[in-house]
Amino acid sequence: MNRNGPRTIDPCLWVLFAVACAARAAPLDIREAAYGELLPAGGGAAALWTASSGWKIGRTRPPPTRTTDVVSVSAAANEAEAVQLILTPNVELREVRPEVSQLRGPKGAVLPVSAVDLLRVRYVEVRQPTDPQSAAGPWPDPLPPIQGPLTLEPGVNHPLWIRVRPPRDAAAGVYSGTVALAASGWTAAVPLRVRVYGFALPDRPTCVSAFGLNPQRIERYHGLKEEVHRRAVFEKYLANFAAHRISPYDPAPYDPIRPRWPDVRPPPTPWSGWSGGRVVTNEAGRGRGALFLFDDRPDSAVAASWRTPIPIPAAGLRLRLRYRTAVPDHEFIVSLNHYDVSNRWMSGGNLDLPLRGNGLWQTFEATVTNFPARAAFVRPHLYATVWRDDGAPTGAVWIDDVELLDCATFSNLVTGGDFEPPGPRPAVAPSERLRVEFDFTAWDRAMERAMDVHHFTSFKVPFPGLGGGTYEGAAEPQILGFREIDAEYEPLMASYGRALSDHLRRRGWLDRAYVYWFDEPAPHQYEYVRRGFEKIRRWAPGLRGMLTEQVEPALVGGPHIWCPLTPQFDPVVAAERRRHGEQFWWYVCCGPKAPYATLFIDHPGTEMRVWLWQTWQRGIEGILIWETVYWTSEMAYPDRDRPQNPYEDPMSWVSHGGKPGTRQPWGNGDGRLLYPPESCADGHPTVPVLEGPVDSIRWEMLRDGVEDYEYLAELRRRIEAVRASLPAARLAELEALLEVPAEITSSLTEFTRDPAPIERRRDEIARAIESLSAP
Amino acid sequence: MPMKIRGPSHLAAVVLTGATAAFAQSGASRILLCGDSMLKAVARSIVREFSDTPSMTCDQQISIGTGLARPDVHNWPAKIREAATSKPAVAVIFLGANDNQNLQAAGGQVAVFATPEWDREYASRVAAVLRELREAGVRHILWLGLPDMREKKLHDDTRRINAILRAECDRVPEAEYFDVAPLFSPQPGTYSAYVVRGGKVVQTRANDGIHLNVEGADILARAIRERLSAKPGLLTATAP
Repeated sequence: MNRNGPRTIDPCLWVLFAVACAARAAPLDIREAAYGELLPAGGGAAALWTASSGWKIGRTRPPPTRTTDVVSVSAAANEAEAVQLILTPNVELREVRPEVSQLRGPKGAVLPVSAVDLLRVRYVEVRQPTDPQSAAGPWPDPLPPIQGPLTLEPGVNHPLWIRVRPPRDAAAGVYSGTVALAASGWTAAVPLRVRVYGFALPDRPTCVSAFGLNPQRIERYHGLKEEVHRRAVFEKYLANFAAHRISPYDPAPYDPIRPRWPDVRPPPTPWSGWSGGRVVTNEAGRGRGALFLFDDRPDSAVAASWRTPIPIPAAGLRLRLRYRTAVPDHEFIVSLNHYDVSNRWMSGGNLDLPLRGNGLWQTFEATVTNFPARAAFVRPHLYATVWRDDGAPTGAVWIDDVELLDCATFSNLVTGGDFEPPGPRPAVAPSERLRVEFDFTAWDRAMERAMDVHHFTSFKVPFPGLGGGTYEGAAEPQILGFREIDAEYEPLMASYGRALSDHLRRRGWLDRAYVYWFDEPAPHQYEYVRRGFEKIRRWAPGLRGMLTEQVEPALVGGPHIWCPLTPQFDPVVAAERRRHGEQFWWYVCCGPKAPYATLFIDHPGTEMRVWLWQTWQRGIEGILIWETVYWTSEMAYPDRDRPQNPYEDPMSWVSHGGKPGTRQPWGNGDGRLLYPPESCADGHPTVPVLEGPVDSIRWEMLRDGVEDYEYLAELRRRIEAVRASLPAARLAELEALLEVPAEITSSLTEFTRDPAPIERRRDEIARAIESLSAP
Repeated sequence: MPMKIRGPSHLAAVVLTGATAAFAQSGASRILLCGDSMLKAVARSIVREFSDTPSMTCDQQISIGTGLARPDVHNWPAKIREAATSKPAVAVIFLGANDNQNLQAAGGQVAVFATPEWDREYASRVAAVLRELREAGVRHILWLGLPDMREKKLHDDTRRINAILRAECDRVPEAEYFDVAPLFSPQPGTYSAYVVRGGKVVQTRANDGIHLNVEGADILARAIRERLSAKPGLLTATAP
């Protein structure tokens, strides 16, 4: 264990290290400039050079020695692709204003200025490396827009991100223009060349995605109080997602599906005279149920109480109950509170009966005949612990068979003290009344935009009543208070599922919807989870359930879409499930870490892009990442007025489970593929910030990966369209291009850190697509 | 020239051939976590427990519903041999709650559970796992015993399994049997879903009376870290 803390290493050294290691070369010369090309335009004031967008440019690595005259990038129509232009000033450059010109192409065609974005590559200071393959130091990640002139410090690299977006109708060919750089006392003009391939990518990607996008965090950082602002800014985030060909879990958080439930409620339980505690059936002193009192908070007291004061019988009371403490020697009290004739609680008049458990079921019995003067009523309270004003004690007790008997008549003055779950009973309403109706008006409007304007590939729909949870715990399935054993549960759930799936089918959205109701179950929850998915299959035909877990025998028959962590994907098992019509997505989050392709800031630039080649390679249909705007951790930054500034602290800290202020790392940039605008980076803006999000290099690489996947899908579509007419040799040649070459990735842990093999292959595929007519 | 991330077996070599001082920290200690459903929640906690130590890496080999009883379904020694190519310094093993069943020996004969034949066969399988780890150069093997179980028969069965685990670990210098039951049972030998930790009652077991819940897994992960940290040099080693 490294107790002295990590060293600071320039990321470029790390990359160079990788180069040398993979090549098994002689000991590494860390001054070597292994990638990129020097441009002649810099003059004496600055070196200007270019590199693929797939490289993370080290802050202090020297300019390359290889040269070129032009900054080049290629893209299909309706695609986005970036290249980096790096300024390495020898002197401080002030008032630097980069501008890109219109790009002129074949036969008078033009790529307008608006088709090119110029972004600044900003660095974040990694203090705690994500894993042993990473290093502390400045890592490039956020790509804020250039707002106003720049001041560039000498001796370090200042990459600019040139993102080209040829429109859908852009003519094929080579376009030329200039990136002009003007500063006080210095100017440079860099030729920019864009090759536009002779095909357009479709608006909706083939690769499905499902990414978290938390609107509350956006509202908080942007300081949005008014609904009109919230909607406007969220729309910018959606547009950004769409531009990156990524779909959010929920594109309509401000226009949810509105079910109108029937006005029915369960009848009172036999123990409805008691309040507090929880009736359970996994423990019982007798019969099938017991009341569970669990006080796990050191600042409160947990108790169950009989709701109404009971007239004190003349002959006194006999209290009987069974109890079991969770641990031996635990002490708790049963307290009789007294009330006067006006039903006012008599302060200081409580009778506390202390009990000590041995961890097994025991019986307690006491007769009370001595009541405070003027006491007319009594109420029993059952505490989980002994009483202290500050509520500090904690503990757990099960209570069963509570009786409060009139000593004269032996009639029981409380009911339901056996906490027995009731058996079957008639439904509270005929089944025709147990129907849900929906108001889809607002949701439909939002979804039309999501589907027809943003071209999202998937969306999550709610399915209440299943329970839900995570490996940390699961909720009991119930709807409107009706539990699975109640007669009302099934008709209500079936009505909901049927109406929802019918509506989605009518709208043509059923095959894009999914239910994501449970996350990462633990093995002991598998049966419960499978049953939940079976309900979706039964009650919402055609609607797919998705589970973030690998295939396990106990889960089979449940999910329609399996979404394991990348290392958990098993191709043999997947082939078997696919025979049953099931699909596969997969995901990354705080794990896996190196040597897998990950989402971390302090990892090679290619990883997010390589992930999509690995996705294609395995026939996997979708990708999932739990969040994109995880900018702060409530646990690590508990002060609501001072949340994390993700530009200053790149670590994604664990969100919960420890004391406030606890900082446990998930990894740098986990769940954070977008940044808030720089003006509200501290989450504390004085006025609402209405800009859209700031991109990151990883977000851009992810989009490039999705577009690479689309190249492969487009080639496959075109091959299929003309398969019969292709000569065998040509067909074989084209089909070979659908395979992912080993130089890109040969296994989940063996892949390129150099973008060049990806770009070469993409170009080969593009030319193949160009050679085949569109289907 | 393509640059590749090498698989685990190559990674260790890569770390040394880099030969630059700047990357010396890449010499990570690897912990191999092997087990069935008993380990799944615990593995998550162990990873989190070591998350503040980037020089530590946890590799997981988890297969739900397996144990040593059915090598035809999951051959643990073979899987461990494969996983151990990452050259872990430490292995943590937690499995066996499904192993209270008859075993079919390599020769085809069936060893009925709770017989001396079964004990011998099961011990040989435990020994095979330990052998694989030793041969892979693992410096310390921490084999976790099974905690007390709520259901009496399973509880009694796991006591039998634990006795074998302990005996086999005692034969191997690199192995340590870790009796985890006291962490979760205030009365040793009696199942409890709750313990007192720091003066606070904490639920540690899942509702099935078998597995640990998140809090229980966290307690075990901390105990594992304490155990491993007490071995001088174990968690500070660089990859071989």
